[in-house]
Amino acid sequence: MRKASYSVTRLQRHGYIFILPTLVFFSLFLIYPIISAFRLSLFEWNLLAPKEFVGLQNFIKMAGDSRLLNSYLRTIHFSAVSVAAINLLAFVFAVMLGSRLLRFKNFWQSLIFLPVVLSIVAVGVVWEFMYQGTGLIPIVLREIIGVSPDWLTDTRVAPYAVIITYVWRSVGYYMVIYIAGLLGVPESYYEAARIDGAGFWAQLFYITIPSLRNTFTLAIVSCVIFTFGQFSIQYVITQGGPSRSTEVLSLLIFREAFRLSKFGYSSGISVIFFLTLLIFSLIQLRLFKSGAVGA
Amino acid sequence: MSSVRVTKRTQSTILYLVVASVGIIFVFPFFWMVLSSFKLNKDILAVPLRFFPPVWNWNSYVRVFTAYPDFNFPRYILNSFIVTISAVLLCLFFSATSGYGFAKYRFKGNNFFFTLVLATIMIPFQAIVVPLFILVRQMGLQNSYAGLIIPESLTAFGVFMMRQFFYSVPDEFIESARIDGANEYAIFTRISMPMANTALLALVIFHAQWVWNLLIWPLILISTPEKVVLAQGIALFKGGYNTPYPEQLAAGVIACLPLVILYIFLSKYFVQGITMTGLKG
Amino acid sequence: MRKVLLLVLVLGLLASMVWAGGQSGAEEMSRIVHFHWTETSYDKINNHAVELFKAKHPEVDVQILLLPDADRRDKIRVALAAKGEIDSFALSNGESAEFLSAGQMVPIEPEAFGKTSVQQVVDMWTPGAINTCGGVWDGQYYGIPFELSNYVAWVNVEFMKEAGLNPATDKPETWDEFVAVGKKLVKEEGGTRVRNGFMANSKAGIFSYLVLLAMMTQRGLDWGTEEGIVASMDQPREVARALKTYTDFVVKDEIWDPSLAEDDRSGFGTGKTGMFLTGGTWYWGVADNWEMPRENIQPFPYPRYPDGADVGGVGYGYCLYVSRLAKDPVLVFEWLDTMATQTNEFIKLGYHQPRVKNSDGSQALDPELARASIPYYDEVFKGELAKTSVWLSSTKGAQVEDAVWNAVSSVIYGGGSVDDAVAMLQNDIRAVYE
Repeated sequence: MRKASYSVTRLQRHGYIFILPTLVFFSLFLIYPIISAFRLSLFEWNLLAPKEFVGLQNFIKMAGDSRLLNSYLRTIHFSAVSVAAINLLAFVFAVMLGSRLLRFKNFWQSLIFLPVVLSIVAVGVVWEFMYQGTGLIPIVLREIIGVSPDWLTDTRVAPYAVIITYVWRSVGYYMVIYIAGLLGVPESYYEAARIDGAGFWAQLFYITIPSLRNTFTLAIVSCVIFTFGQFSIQYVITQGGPSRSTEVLSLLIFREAFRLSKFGYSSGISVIFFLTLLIFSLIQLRLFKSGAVGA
Repeated sequence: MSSVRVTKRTQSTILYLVVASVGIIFVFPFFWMVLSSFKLNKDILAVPLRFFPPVWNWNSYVRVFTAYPDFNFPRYILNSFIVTISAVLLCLFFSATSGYGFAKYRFKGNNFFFTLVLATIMIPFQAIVVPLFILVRQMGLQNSYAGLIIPESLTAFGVFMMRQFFYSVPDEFIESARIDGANEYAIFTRISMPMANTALLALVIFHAQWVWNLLIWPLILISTPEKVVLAQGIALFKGGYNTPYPEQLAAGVIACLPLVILYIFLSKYFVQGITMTGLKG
Repeated sequence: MRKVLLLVLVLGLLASMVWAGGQSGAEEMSRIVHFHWTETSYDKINNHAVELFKAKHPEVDVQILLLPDADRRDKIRVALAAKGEIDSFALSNGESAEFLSAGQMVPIEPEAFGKTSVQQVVDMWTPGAINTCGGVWDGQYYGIPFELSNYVAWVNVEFMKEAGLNPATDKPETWDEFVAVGKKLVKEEGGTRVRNGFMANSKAGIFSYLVLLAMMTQRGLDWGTEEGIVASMDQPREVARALKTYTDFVVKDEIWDPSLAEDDRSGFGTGKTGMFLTGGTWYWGVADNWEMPRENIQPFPYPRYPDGADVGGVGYGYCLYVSRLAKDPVLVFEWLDTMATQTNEFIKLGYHQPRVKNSDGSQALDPELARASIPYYDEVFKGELAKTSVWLSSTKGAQVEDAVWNAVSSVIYGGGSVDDAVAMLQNDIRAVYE
C-alpha cells in the first residue's frame, strides 16, 4: 500500500486529474465550437461559398432588424410568463403534495411529472391536435363559455398556446426541486410555530418561504436559462408562426442559419443571446450573493 | 374536538379534489394521445367531437411498423437505446468525476474552471450546431454513434448537481480512508461513489429524458437510415404530408413508452436523489 | 447485484453497437447516397430504381435518403458543406441556383449515358426541359430532369353540385368568380367551419409564395428574375392589388379559415376544402391516397384578372444532380440515368417527366399512356403548360420566399393592413438584393 501523503500539492494534483476528462471534452466539444461560432459572427457565410469577412456589419444590421427585435421581445415575453407560471404552480403543487393530509404522494407526483418524460415531438403532435379549429380545446371551450380563440392562427393567442404547452410540460420538473427543498426544512420549525399558534398561512410565509430562498434562486435562475433557450415546442407546433408571433430567439438563430443560409448573421444573434444570459446571470449573482449555492 | 376533526376532513377532501384535478389535467393530454391513436383517421378531427373511438382502430400501431417500408421503427428504437444509455453512462462518468474533483479538492483554478463549465449552459445548442458539426466531421465522426453520443453526454447541469452532492458528503470518511493509506481513486470508487447512488439515479432520469428526446443534433448529424434515432424518426414521420393522424399519434405513444416505464421504476429514488444533492440549497 | 446489472448493461450495449455498426455497409462495397424527397406512392418506384441499378452494378450499394420536402434543401446544404456522404441529390428549379453558383455540382458526363456529346444527352429530353427544370448554369448542363409540372386550380365538383352549381359551366374564370364560388362551397356545422371554400398550406410559406407569384405575374410584374422582382417593388399599387386578392380570401371574403386544416393537398383530399391552387398532374396519383374518387374532382385553369396578363399557375421542375463530392461521377450519372428511366411508371400516377428517349434508344414517355393517365390533359393541362408563370431562380430564393410569406402572414394572421405589408415587402426584397 502506498504511503498516504497529506501534502497539499499531492491532493491538488488529484483534483486536476478528476476534472481533467470533463474539461477536455467540454473544451473540445462545447467551448471550442462556441468560440468558433463567435468568430463566425464576423463573417457572412452561406456554408457553400467561401466565408466573407464583414467585421461588425452583422451587428450593425441587427440594430435595425425589426425581425430580431420582435424575436427578442417574444422571447422575453415567453420567458417571463412561463417562468412565473411554472415556478408559482410548481411551488403550490409542492406545498400541496407535502401536506400531511395527503396519501399516495408518489402517485400524484408521478402524474404531474409525467409530461416531463414525454417525447417533445409527441407532445407537439398531441397539443397541436388539441388546439386546432376542430380540436378538443376549442370544442370544450365553446361548450363551457361559448367562445374559443383561434389558438394557432391568432397572433395574440398563439404565444399563450405555446406557453401553456411548455408550462404543462415543465412544471413537474421544478415541482420536484421544490419538494426536495421543502423536505429539507426541519420539522422542528413547524412544531415550534404550531405551539406558538401559527396557522397554515403564517407557517407558509414565515417559515417555508424564507427557508426556501436558495431553492427559489436555483429553480428560477435555471428556469430562466432553460426557458430563454427553448425552441422545440415552437419548432414542432407553430414553427415560429403565425406571422412570427412565436418566433423566439433560438428559433430565429436556427432559421437564419438553416433556412436562409445566413450562418454569419445567425452566429451574431447567438452572441447577443449569450450576452443577454450572461448579464442576467451576473445580475442575479449580485442580488443573491449571500445565497450563492455551494459557496 | 369533533369540530376540529370535521374541518380536517373537509380540508382533506378539498385537498384530494384539487390534487386529483391537477393530476387529471396533467395526465389528460397523454391519455388523449393514446385514445386518439386508436381512432380512424376521419374520426380524429371530426365534428362533433368523438371522445372515445367509435370504431377501434387497432391497426394504427401495426401500420406504423409495417406499412411504411422507409421507416424502420424497431431500428430507431434500438438506436435510441444505444445512444441514450451510452450518453447517460458517459454523462455520469463526467459529472461524478468532475463534481467530486471540484467539491473535494482545493486547487488553483477550481472556481475558474467550474464557472467555465457552468457557462456552457448559457449557449443554445442551435448556436454551436454548425461549428460542432464541422468539428465532428473533421474527426471523422459524422454519421456515427460516437458523434451522437459524445456531445450528448456533456451537460454542465450534471457537473453542478454532483458537485452539490459531494459537498454534502462529510470529509471524515475520506480523511479516515486516507489515514488508512488508500489512494484517491480507490476512495472515490469504493467510498464516495456508492454514497451517490440516489443522486446518480436522479441525474439518470434528468439526462436520459433529454438525450432520448433530443431532436436537433441527430437531425443534422445522421444521414443514413440505419442510425436514425426515434425522436428523429418521429419528426420525419410527421413531416411527410400524407401521414395519417392515427399513425402519427401511435408513433408518438411508442416514443413515450420507454421513458415512462423508466420513470415508473425510478420515481421512488428521484426525489430522494435530488434531496441528497442538496439542490434544495 | 447492481454491479452485475451494470456489467450486463454495458456488455449488452457494446454488443449491440458492434452488431449495429457491422450492419451499416461493409467497407468493400462502394456506396452511392442520394438525397430525395418522400412521397409514399413514388418511394416504391424510386426504390425499384435501386434494384434496377443493382442488377447492372452488383458491387455498388445505393441508398436513397427520403426526406420531408421542407427539409431536403437544408440537409443537402449541410451535407455538402461538411463534406459528408452525398453523391447525388434532387433540387427544384427554384432551389438549384444557390448550389450551382457555388460550384456544388458536376457537369453532365455523356459517357455515363453511352453518348459522346453532351448535346446527345440533352436531346433525350424535351427541348428546353433541362433549362426549365433549373439544370443549366453559365451555359453548362448539370441536371437530369426528373419532373416537369405546372400548377392548376382544382375543385371538388361534388361539393359544387351540393351548392347548386353546375360544374360544367360554373367553374370560376376570374378571381371575383373564384371568390363567389368559394363562398358557396364553404360549409359550417353548428357554428364551426368544417369546409373551406379555398385553402392553401397555412404553415409552409412556399405554397402561398407560388400562388402569389402567379398573381403578381398576372398583374404584369416580372417575378421570374432578380432584376424583375426588385423592379416590381417600384409598383406598389400592382403588388398591393395581387397581395390583397390573396389575403382577402382570409380576411374579407372568408373563404379560407387557416385554422381548419394545415395542408391543402391533404385538406382537399379529405374534403376540408372545395378548391385549392397548388396541384399539378401528379395530384391525381396523390389524391388516390385519401380514397377521394376521381370523379369528384376536376382541374381547371387558374383564374385571371379581367385586366391582367393571360398567365396561369407556376411552372416548375426538378433535376437530379451529381454532387462535387461524388467519388465516381460517371457511375453516379449512370445511377441518375437509371432513376430517370421509369417515366411510364410515374406517368400512371400522373407524375410527369419530360423524357423523350432512354439511353438505350427506346422511347421513354409514352404520349398515349400520358394522355390516358391524366384526366383532362387536353382540356386543361396542355393549354396551361404553355402559359406558366416563372419561378425565380436565385441564390437568395429562400430569403425572397421568406419575405413574401412574412408579408402574407402579417395580414392573414397579424391583422395588419395590405399597405403595411407591401411596405415591409419592399424593404425586405430591396434588402435581399442590395
